[in-house]
Amino acid sequence: MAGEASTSAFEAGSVPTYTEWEEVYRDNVVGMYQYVYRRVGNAPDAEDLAAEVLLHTLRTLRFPSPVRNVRAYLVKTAKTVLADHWRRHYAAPEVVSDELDELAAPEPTTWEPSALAAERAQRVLALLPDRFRTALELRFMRGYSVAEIARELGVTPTHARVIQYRALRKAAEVGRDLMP
Amino acid sequence: MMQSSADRVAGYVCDLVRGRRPRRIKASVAELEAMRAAAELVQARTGLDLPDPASLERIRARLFAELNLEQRGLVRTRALSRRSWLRTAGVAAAAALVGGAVERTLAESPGQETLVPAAAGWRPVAAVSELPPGHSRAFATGAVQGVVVNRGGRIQALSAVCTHLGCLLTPNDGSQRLDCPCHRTSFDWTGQVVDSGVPYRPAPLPQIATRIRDGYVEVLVV
Repeated sequence: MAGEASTSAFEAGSVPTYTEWEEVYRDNVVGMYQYVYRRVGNAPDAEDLAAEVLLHTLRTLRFPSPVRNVRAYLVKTAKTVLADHWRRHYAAPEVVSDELDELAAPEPTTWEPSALAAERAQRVLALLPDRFRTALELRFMRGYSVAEIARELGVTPTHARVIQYRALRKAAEVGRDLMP
Repeated sequence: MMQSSADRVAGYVCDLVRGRRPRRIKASVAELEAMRAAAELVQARTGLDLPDPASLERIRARLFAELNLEQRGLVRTRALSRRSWLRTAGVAAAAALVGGAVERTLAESPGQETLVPAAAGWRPVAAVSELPPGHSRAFATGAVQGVVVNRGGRIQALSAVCTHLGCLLTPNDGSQRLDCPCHRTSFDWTGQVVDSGVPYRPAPLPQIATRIRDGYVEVLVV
C-alpha cells in the first residue's frame, strides 16, 4: 500500500523501521519522483531534484530509523529543495523566500497515486470559467499549440497567450482554495 | 522589445508540454504562480508522472556514486542491460524495477510478462469479500499501480498502466475491461488488447503475481 513500509521493515519491530538505505530508496524513490514531478512538470528536472532530495536525506539518516520520521524528513527536504529550485532558476531578485515556500506547498502526508493527483488537477479545471477551462484543456490534455487554440477560440495568437496566462493565474488561485 | 508575462509563461508552458526541461527565466511572483499551476496540469494526463527505468537507474547510480556505497560491498544491479525488454513491458514494469533486479517468467500468452521483482514482498491489496466475480479494484503500492480483477472466480492482478503511453487505466466492471482515457485503448481482464485507437497494437498488460492469503488478495511487489 502507498505510505507503508516494505515487508522487511515491518519485521524489525512493532514500529515500521528502515534498517538500511536500500529500503529507504526502494520504498520512496517512485513516490518522491512523482511528488517532485507534479510540482515541476518535467522529467529532467524531476529526476535531478528527486536524486537531490534522496541524497541529502540518505546522507543525514542514521539507521535504524522509523518509517514515519524518514517520510517526514523526505518531504521537508523536498520542500526546501523545490523552493531552492524556483529561486535559483526562475525567481526574479525581488521575490522573497516566503513566496517561494508557498510554491513548494502543499505537503503530502503520504505518497499519492497518479490517479488522485490527476483528479485534483481535473477538479481545478472544472472550477474555471468556460473560456479558461477550454484553453487549458486544449493545451494540456489535447496537446494543441497556441496557434491552434487561437483558431479554436477565434482570437489572435497573442490574445490566446494572454488567455492562457490568465487561465493559469486563475488555476493557481483555485488550486490554493482546494488545498486541504 | 520587452516580453510580456503572457509570452514568458507561454515559452515555459511550451517546453513543459513537449517534455523538455524549461528554459530558465527570471519571473515575478504572479508568473511563478502561473508556471507552478502549469506544472501541475501537465500531470493531469495520468501516468506521465511515472519515472522511466532509465531515470530510476540514473538516480540510483548517482546515490551509489555520491554516497560511496560500492566501497561498502553493495553491488550495482544489472538493470541497464535489461532496458530493452522493459520498454516492451511498459511503464508499470519500470516502476516495479525500483530495486533493479527483476526476473522474467513466461505468462499465459506469448508477449505477456509476469512481473516478479527480486526484492519483493507480498502485500494485501483487497479483501476477497470485496471482490465478487465480475468486480475489480484498483490499488497502488509505493512502486506499482495495478488492478485486481475477479474473472468468473479467478482472481488476478494486472498492471493498470497503459502499455501505449503510460496513462492510468480505468477499470470498467460493466464491460470487464480496463479503458485508457488517453487514446481509446481497451484491455480485457486477462491483459490482452481488445480495442485500440493507436496505429500499432500495444503490448498486453503485465500480470502481477497474485495469491489469496487469510481472506486477502496479496500481490508480489517491491
